[in-house]
Amino acid sequence: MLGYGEPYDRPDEYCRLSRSTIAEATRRLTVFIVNKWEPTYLHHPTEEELKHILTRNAARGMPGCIGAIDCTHW
Amino acid sequence: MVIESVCDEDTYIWHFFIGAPGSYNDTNVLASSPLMLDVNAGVWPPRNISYTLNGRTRRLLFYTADRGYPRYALFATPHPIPDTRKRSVYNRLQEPVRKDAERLYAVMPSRFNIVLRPARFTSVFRMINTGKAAAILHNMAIECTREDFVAQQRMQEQRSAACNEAIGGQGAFGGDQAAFVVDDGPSGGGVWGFSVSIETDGQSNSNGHEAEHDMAVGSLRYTDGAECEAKDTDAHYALLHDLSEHIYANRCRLLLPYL
Repeated sequence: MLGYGEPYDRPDEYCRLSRSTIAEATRRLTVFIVNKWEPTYLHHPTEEELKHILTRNAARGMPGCIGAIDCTHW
Repeated sequence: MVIESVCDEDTYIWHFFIGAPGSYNDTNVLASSPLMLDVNAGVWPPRNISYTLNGRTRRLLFYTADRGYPRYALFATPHPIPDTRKRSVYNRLQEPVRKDAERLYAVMPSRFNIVLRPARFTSVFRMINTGKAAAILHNMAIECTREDFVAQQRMQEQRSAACNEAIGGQGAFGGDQAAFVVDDGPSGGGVWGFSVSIETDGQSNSNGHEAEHDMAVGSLRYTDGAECEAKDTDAHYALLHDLSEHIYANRCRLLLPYL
């Protein structure tokens, strides 16, 4: 589902699950991922990580740069 | 719906904000972004790291951004009219650094095709959750494969070379080591001496010093000073000037053939 962006009733043939079950499972999976790993994987850089980023960007010629920011529309 | 993200060279996502209405654009999504709220509160970026640009020591770290962003000291935007050689060299280096954020929006959909089909969800909450989940999984994937990236390998080589040099007794690898300086900790409350000196201009020196000392992290004056510093337009132009001088001095020979 997440990898291929399929509709809910696409994988029901090879998963042997109904469309609503897949929808519910996907919902629970995303909620689980966000609840469990958001503090680990989407946080402000810690001091160590920040030093790493700064060192790399300084090596690229931009000291003091802590990343690139951009927006997109969904 | 607008996604705002900050990422580094590996397209590791350091900040991901999703959920603002689609009528927002780059500039006014900052009003609701948690990143900018932290900046307004003075929580982010950390002020205990200083680096030197063009002989001037700075404390405010910055993000590279494109033209759509306001003229804040927090953002290093490209020069609008690169009419001198220094400015075009600066733009030439700023573009590849900024490009990482653009690259993220191509890498993430190719990993997780679901982010190209947001209308598959029945509620906004689900949409936000799915976007975040995709970002988290993307970060996990990056973390697993990071060691194989060319940039990382190059850095490892550099580091080992630096170690060898240090063992050999040659301190030639001073450039990258001195790229920034981390203070031991916030020295009292006076990290924000600059903004206080503006606010308490009329007061005597001793009063100003006391005010500095009283200013704790999170106090109103600290927050105000932090917001003013991060959003200062003059400081933005000074940053651009210093950056272009620095880059011209260091990378001129490397970048001029590619202009």
